[in-house]
Amino acid sequence: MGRLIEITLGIMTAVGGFVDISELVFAAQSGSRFGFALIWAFAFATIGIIVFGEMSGRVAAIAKQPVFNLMRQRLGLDLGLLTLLPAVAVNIITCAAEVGGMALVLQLLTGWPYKLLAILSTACLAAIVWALPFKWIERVFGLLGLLMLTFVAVAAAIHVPWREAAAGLIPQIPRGLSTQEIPSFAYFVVAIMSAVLFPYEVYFYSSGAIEEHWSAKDLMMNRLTTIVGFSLGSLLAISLLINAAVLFRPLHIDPQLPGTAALQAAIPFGETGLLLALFGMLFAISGAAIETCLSSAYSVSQFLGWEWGRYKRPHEAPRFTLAWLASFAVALAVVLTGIPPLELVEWAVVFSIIVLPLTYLPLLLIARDRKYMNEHVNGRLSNVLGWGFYTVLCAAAVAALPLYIVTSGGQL
Amino acid sequence: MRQTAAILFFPLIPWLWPGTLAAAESSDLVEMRTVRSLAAETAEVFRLQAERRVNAIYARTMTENAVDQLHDLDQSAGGEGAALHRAIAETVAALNHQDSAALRAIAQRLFIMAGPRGPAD
Repeated sequence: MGRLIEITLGIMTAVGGFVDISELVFAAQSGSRFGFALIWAFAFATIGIIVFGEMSGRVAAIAKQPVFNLMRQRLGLDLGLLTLLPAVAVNIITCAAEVGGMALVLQLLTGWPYKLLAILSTACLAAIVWALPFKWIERVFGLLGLLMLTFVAVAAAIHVPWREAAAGLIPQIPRGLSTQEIPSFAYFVVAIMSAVLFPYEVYFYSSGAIEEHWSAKDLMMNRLTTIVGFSLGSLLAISLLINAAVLFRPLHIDPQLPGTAALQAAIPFGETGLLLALFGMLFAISGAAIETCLSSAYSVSQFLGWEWGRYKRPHEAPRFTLAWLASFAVALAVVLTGIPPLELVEWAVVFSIIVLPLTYLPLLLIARDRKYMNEHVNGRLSNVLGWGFYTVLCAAAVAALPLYIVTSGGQL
Repeated sequence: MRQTAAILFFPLIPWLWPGTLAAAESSDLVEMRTVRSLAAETAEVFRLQAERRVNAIYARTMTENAVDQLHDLDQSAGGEGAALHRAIAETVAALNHQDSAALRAIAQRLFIMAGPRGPAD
């Protein structure tokens, strides 16, 4: 019974922790601009994160190796360093975007000044990470993030043409796009893949597995959490897209900020819906801010061989503690420069897809290596899916920057 | 490294070049569509506020953020684009009067001028 509760909690945490500010922004914008035509991109990328998430959890449980240990072993010091530096930069930019997002949502709830709220949010997050054990951090934000299910309720309450929405699951380029808009559509496909497959997610997930001392007996939970939890989490993002297609597209609203996405809930459910949506967004974004910040500290500590882990007291892993405190400080400094959170989201999305191939290569190599994995080595399906997605990611990484430049960040 | 980058990007040149030109030409259009979106969004906020479906703090913050974004757009447009400056001024005035109908009319007019973002229905 205890095991069942543990698995259910793990799945619910994965659902609540799936959406962050980049998915919020890109899901709502995709629906508003292209109707249902990008649902397939979310579904496709979700299969990718399931494959890589499951693999990273399995490697952590069996080989007891988090991603950055593997990177140094498999890629060597130079190439490993070439991955570490951009990965940390992307994590910090993403963390800054999340902190900015938190401040924006809190501003909608309190009316207080944005920069003051950014400072208060960062201080609160740092205090929470300092005081709470890993499992509590993961569970509290994951479970409170389930308030985002309000957006699924919105999709059920408004009149969605479900047959047309279901057709969005088929990969397509919508009819009627001009030659200028086709690169924009391609940019959105790449951005969605990047937002769903953000590298911090596997750094955090695999480090978390080691924090919680996973072993072979946890492999079933790993599989259920990644398959069921991530799929249901993806449903949240798809609901945001569907709601935007139905509610915003006819009004020509192109949502740029979390506040506009929250409007989706106010239309059918009034103020209660609005508040539930805002609190859901706040907890989901806060959880992502903590994950990105800890991911930076995990990456650096694992690569440099420092003591790391939230299961240790701060003074038992001083350099790791300093690393996550510094990550929060730098992210806050970026927010206080006044760069809009949306711009930070775009940078994070573009640069993370460039880092992704280097992140996943050592994982794929170890997961198929019987020396490390024994009988838990990749099966044929995992290998085919893993390498298939890896090829797609490499193509997306090459296309990301040119598409960003040509489309002015998808604005054309 | 440079050679690798050149090899990787060489096939993209014919595709990137017209796109980059188009990006420069379409800057006004992009900004016009942003103004339209802000007008439509705040019109909806005011409508819901009138029906007591959103609270005053949310409505005020959304309005202030929209005004800030419009001022930024106005400044970044510089001396260019008289139509854009006019649209921004009208939108700010309608926001200051919390005039939902005027905002909707501006959004509709800008839709006719700037066309849809994404495929037309």
